[in-house]
Amino acid sequence: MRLLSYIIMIILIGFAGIQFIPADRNISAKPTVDDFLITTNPPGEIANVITVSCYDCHSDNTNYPWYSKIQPITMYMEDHILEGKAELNFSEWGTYSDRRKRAKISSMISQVQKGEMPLSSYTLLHGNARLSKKEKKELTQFLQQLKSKF
Amino acid sequence: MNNRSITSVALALLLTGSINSCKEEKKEVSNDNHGEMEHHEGNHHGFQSDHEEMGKEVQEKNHMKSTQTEGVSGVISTYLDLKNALVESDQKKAADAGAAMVENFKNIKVEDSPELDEIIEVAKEHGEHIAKSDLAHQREHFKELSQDISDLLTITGTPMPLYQQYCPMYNKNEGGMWLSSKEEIRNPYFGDKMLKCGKVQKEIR
Repeated sequence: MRLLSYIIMIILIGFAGIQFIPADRNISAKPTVDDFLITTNPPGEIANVITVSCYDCHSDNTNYPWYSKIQPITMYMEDHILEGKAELNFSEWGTYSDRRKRAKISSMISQVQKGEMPLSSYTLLHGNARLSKKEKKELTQFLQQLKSKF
Repeated sequence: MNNRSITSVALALLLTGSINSCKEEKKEVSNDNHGEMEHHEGNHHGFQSDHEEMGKEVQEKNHMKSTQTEGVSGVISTYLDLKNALVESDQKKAADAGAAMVENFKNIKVEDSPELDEIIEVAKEHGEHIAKSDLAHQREHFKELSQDISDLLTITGTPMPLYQQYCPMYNKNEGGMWLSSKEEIRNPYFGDKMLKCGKVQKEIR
C-alpha cells in the first residue's frame, strides 16, 4: 500500500512538473496574402470545410481546444502541427511554385478520397472536421478544377 | 487454373482496349516529333545507327557535359532503380531507391535556373514520400515524379538514352508515364498484374 501511494505521488509530481514545459502556439497575426483561401477563393461552403478540417494542422493559425494547454497534449499537438505544416502550409500557398501546387493538390485529392485526411486521430476529438460524402465530393471537385489552372 | 484463364482473357480484353487508346496518342507523339520517331524506328537497336546519330548530337552533348549532368546521371540511375522496384512491387527496395534519389538530387548543381530549382525541390519531396510510404502511395508519387524527371531532362539533357513510356490505365484510366532505359515495356504501376501494358511515347536522347 505504501509503495502504491508512493508511485502515485511520483506520477502526480511528474504530471505537475511537465505543465511548466513552455510551448509555442501556432497562432499568427501576420498578413495572409499568400493564404490558400484568399488566393484561390473557393465558394463559401468549401472554404469553411477547408478551414475546419485542414487549417488546424496545415496553416499558421490553429484553433486550439481547451485541453491543448495540458501537457503532454501540448507537446503532442506541437509536433503534429509542425509536421503537418512542413508537408503543406496553406498560409504559404502563394509562395509555392506552380509545380509544387500541382503536386500538393494531387496529394490533397488522393488523401481526401482515400479518407486518410483529416487524420482519424484528429477527427476522433474534432467531430465537425470529419468530411461527409458530399463534402468530400465537392472538395475534390474544387481541387480538380484548381489543379487544371497550374 | 480455371481462374487463371479467365484472368488472362480479361487481361487480353483490357489490353486490346488500351492498345486502341495507345494508337491515338502515338499519332500525336509522332506529330510532335516531326516524324523523327519513324526515322529511329526499326533500326535503333543497332549500335551503328546510334553511332550515325552522334554527329548530329555532338553539339547538344557538349552542351550537356556540364557539372549539372554529372549529378543528373546519379538521379537517373536511382530513378531507374525505383522504377524497377515498382515493377517488382517491392515496397522496401522502392523506399530505399527513393531515399537514395533524394541524396543524389543534392549533387545536381543548379546555376541560375529557377525552373530547375523548382523541379528538384518538388521531385525531392516525392522521393521523401516514396521513402516512407506503402506501394500504392509510392506509385502515386512516382507518377508525378516521372513528369518532373522528364521536365528536368529537357533542361539538363539526358546522360543516357531513355524511353518515355505510358500506360493509359493507371489510376482509373487517368494514365501514368514513366521513363525506362529499355524499349521493352515493364509497367511499374501495376507490377505483375499488368506487366506489359503500355507503349513507348518517345525516345529521350
